[in-house]
Amino acid sequence: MSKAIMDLTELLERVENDRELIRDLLLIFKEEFPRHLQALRDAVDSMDGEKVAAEAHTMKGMLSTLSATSAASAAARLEQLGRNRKVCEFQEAYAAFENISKKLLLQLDTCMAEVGG
Amino acid sequence: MDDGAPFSLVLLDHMMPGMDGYEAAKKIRLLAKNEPLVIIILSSAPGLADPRRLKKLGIDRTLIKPLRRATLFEAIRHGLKPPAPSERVPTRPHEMAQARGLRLLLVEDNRVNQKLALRLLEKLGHQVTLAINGQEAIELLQSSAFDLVLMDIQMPVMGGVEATQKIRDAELKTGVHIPIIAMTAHAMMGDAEKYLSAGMDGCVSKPVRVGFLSAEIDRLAKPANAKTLVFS
Repeated sequence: MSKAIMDLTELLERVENDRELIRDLLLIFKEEFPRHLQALRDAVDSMDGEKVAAEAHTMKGMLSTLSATSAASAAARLEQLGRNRKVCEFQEAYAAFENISKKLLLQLDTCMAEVGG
Repeated sequence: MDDGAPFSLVLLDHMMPGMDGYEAAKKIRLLAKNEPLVIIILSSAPGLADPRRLKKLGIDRTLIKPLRRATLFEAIRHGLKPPAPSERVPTRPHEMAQARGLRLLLVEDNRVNQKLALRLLEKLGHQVTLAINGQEAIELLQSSAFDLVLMDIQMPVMGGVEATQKIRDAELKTGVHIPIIAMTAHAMMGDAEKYLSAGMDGCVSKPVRVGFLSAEIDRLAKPANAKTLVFS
């Protein structure tokens, strides 16, 4: 069984069991994610540290709001590498981030169903 | 702790390398089993701790750094007694906010975080206007009066620190002071001071929790002062 990337219990607790809100947050995330992932990918490919940091920061914000801690940490790592212009590590950190966020995407529909979506 | 020597009180720093104060508290509480032991966390960023989490970890109290000698003395002396109201980790004075219905300006670029903050603030009974960056916030502050600003830090076009500095500069001519609360994921030591020195009045960490958000708004909002601003 794959480990849950998103801690739905923690999220429910944090928003005081507002399932409708969680559903909205998940829908927005699902809509926003591909665009931001592409922007991050482009920034990584063009080795633009500033853009990598900015895009990874946005990802980190969304993911931590959704209690997806490990994915948020992977984004935080990219943000830090971007800030420090550690271009040689961009690709590897991006791959790690992409890997974990794909697992998260697979989990989204299950979560949506759990909150009554 | 595991050699059996009893301690009655532990003071733990919040941010420590390797194992932070929360993790240490949890472990210490387990080691102490049912022995009476007071655990106090010292933190430089008020509002970061969630009261339910603190309770779960067995932390009795949070003291805000820089620590005053009298506060520390009082905390130790009272030990297991409940904290004084001024020191208590905020619960959630929803009722107060609901009665006030403040005009809030939310400045946030991230759509997921916008939605979360909007919903929490509206549930608290406030009227919320959204700006997606610092520049837009400044434009809105010129045309409408707000009681308080909730400001993200890192945003495209204009970030929260720069926007705050511009707002404070503009206020020099009018003498008004709009409370600005930083909303930041940088739950790092030193950041809170950086925002305060940029002219912000308070800070909540993201992801925001309704209790802390509400407490920080109630602490800072002074609705009677709301005026529009003129930027040069």
